[in-house]
Amino acid sequence: MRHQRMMTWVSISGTALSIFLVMAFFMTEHAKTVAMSPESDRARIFIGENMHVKKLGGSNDSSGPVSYEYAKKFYENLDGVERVAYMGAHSGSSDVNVKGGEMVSALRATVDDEFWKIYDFSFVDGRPFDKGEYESVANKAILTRSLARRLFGEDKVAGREIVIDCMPYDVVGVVEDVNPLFQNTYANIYTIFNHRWVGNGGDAWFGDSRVVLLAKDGVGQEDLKRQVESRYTTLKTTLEKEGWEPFYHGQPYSTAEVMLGGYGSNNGPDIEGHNKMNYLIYTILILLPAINLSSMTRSRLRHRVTEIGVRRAFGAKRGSIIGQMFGENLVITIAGGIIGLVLSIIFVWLASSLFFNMTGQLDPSSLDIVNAHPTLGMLFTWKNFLIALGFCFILNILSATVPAWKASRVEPAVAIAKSR
Amino acid sequence: MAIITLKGVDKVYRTKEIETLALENVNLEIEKGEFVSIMGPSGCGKSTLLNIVGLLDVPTRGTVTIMNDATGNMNDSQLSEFRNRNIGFVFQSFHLIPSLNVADNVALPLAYRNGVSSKERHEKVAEVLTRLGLSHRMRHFPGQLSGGQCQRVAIARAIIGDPQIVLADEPTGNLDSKMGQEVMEILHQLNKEDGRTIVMVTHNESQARMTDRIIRFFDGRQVE
Repeated sequence: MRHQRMMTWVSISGTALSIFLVMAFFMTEHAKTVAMSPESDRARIFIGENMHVKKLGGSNDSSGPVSYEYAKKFYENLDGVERVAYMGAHSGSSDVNVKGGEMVSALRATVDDEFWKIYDFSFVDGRPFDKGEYESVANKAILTRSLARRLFGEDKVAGREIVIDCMPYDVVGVVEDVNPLFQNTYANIYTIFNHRWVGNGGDAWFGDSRVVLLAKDGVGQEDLKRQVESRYTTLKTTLEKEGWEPFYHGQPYSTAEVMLGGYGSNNGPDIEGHNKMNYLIYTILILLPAINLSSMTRSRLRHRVTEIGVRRAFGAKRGSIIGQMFGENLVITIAGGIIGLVLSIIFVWLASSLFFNMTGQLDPSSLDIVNAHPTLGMLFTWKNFLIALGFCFILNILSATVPAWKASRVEPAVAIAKSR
Repeated sequence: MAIITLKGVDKVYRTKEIETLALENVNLEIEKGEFVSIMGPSGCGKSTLLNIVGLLDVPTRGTVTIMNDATGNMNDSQLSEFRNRNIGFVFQSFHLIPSLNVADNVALPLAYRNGVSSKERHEKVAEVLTRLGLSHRMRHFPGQLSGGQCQRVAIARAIIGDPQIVLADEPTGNLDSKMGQEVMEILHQLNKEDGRTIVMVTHNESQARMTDRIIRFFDGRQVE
């Protein structure tokens, strides 16, 4: 390697580029599904949200967030569920101010008291909502630290009063800011979910509810799906009498399905299709550079035929030559891999707006009160490092196998004769 | 007692178009501790013979027995191990590995031998290089050495594993006469003092005459 510096550096650069592309792609996926505060329990959290019905014998097809009433019918008292939280399906922008103070546009989420037990928010001041406040739909609010500072100039503001969309609210708590990538918990201000609101009038099954289920340890998504589907089947009998057919779309959804599956109110997430596409992308991103690296390794090898012949003459077995080739190639792939990993972290962090469509869910006027970057912790974990290392090994095996095998077949007499 | 025995050895190189007979019916016995020169014009089969004796190549026909072992039945792995323990090579172009320093080049045969500790390897390298007057060059790379020094390093590499047989293919071919003389003296020393069997291919008549026996080849046949 020392004597073929140019080739070595080209190989390292090629590997770095490959690992950079693979890891940048991987990290954009990982950052969307990583389990971190306040969504540390993502593996056990499942979401139920929409309802889809069709008029029997007609073309009337309706879908949208389920009503609180029907959300309870589908998701209350499921076996294997530790907690159930109800929240508004949509977060919306609200005008928030302290009486006489500056009006700030902030993203508002409506949640219940259980929400704070499922998600591990970090309270800077005050407390979460209690059962009584939720039951009475009290005008209580919890602010993020950034919004509290923006409104009051400080973050110890529990007990103070604010105005949200012209209505007075008591601040009961202040929490650390949530990264916008945590779509189910991200907001600037939290108020109580109005479970008494019937919704959009005529159809009792539509409303504005989202259900968050915290499964007990060891309970799988399929267990929950089976129960919810069974409830849909029961409902179907009732609704069919009224001339409607409900469609079950595989709820409740996992975090990966919610974040990556691309679902709508009348169709479920296709995480399998998403994964297949990802595997295809990973394969292309690994295979193309592997072919190039393999060619370069073979080219390097052509310059070392005599050396291999000499090693064989002095007792190197074919296995030793193969081991040496893999070892040298591994040094290159690991060096390139580390460079690629560092570059991918820097690039994804700096160009996060390209990778994460966070602004789509934010009111532009509220952008200045959030940090819209994924954190370094979301991008780099030791798991990511091990995965990058794994990709390096795959790249090494793919790119070194043919050259190593060819090197081991070099006939010493021929190799030495070539440079005689 | 013969240490190397070749019986009825032919070597034919075949391509799609032509067949070349490189060695024809070679019968040869070399005694233990003998210093033998092989001479002949270019293309007469000297190097082919050396490759066959060194187990780097296999005969098309005939048998090669070295140290009473019939080598024809050995597989690739056994041949590698046999070479490692019993045969040292010295090449005309030295064939030192440019990315390794002198010590690592010399230690190469021991790297492929089981049961040699790193400490033993270092001690053996130091001992051999001291004997060849190169102990001060241990950390140098081949590119920093003269031709004569390179060939001395190559000789050190050939003998570090303590082989009974040393095969030298025109060892002075790339050296000036003074350095060539130095190398010949070392080879004679290895023969006389260590009792190693040396088979040397050479074009140099005067160097050949200083060895125990000259074997001459012409067109693949042993003529003397």
